[in-house]
Amino acid sequence: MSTGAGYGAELLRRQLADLNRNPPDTFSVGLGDDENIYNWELMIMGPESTPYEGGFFKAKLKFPENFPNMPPEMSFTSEMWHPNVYESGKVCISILHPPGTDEHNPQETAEERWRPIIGVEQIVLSVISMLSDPNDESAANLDAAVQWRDDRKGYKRKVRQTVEKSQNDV
Amino acid sequence: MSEFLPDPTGPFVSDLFSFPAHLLESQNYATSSGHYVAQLNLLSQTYSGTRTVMGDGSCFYRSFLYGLIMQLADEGNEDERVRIEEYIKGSLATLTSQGYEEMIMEGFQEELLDLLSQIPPSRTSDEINLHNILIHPNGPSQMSTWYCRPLCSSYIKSNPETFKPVLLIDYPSIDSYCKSQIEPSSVESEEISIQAIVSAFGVKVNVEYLDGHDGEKVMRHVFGEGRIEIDMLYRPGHYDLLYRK
Repeated sequence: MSTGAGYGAELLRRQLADLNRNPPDTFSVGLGDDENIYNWELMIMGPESTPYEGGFFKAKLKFPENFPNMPPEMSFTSEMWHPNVYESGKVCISILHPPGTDEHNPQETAEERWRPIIGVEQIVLSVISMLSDPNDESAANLDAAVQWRDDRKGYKRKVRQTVEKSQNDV
Repeated sequence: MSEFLPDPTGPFVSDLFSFPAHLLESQNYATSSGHYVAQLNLLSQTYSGTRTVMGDGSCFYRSFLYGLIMQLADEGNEDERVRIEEYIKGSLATLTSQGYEEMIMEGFQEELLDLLSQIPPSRTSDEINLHNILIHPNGPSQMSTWYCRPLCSSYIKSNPETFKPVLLIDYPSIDSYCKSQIEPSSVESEEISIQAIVSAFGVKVNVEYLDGHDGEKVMRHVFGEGRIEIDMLYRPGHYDLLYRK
């Protein structure tokens, strides 16, 4: 287990301090109970003019020991119904995939993938933009993807339920 | 890709080994059908030492930075050291003006400035110390190596007239090339990115191409110009450092 020394931890500390000093409008960040700089907790506001509007979705960012060489993993801990989020909560998005590792996803171009100079804010903003604009070519939750494509009304109803649930949890 | 694979885990940069003996011992050149041994023997007229570099996709940048920092420690290169330090200090403004996030870039830049500040006044007495700083896995050298990538992108973006004609043949835009071919840490350099990084730093790099094609000659590609010259060996897919007799 890392002691949080070294350049990856330093880069994360720098970003955490900056995000707390200049909090973005659409999400907030902090460390988990163990105060480990490699484990972040997030609260994401559902983007306006989407079925997710009004939701307060909790998520986790888990950074690897060799960050920023490799990207973090992001998972929603609140219930989430979305074509690009696995039922486990894990987010499937190009920016969190290292280049050249995802053969399942030929549509993904290398320029959308992970680079060490990508900041945490950019990651979260990409995920928020994914909420507004699902990518049905690489579904992580097949049922949600099919429903999003064929039964938009039912999809919205299901998302609204998760929004209400997230509001009750806060 | 080469059949002679570099070590992907090993120290960032190895100790100085004798050339070409070390490469002949550590790689199967002798049993290969290519003209590798003849080419290595030709090169041995000029070079007597080599340092092998970790093969994780950043070997060019790592060789470049190691070769550069070591030479900046040479007495007589004080002016170059000041010039490079000024360039790195000014690089943040250029990157920010091109849309790179200042707070993130600063995290990388500070590591490279830290590395430059650890260059001893005289190489002769402190070479081993400097080597150990440069190969320390948790030291400033890893972030400094990665910082070379946005510096490289930034040079290309600042000189579109030079790079556009070549890049737009294979890539939709300069930005797309930089994001997919330069900025990911696992993507190896090729001629365009080498040209950009040596020009950005004002340093000359000579690359000897060990391709095994012709036992009578070795192609040498010269990139950039400058008082500091770094010699490298390219065995397709990988760069190592060379040292002259």
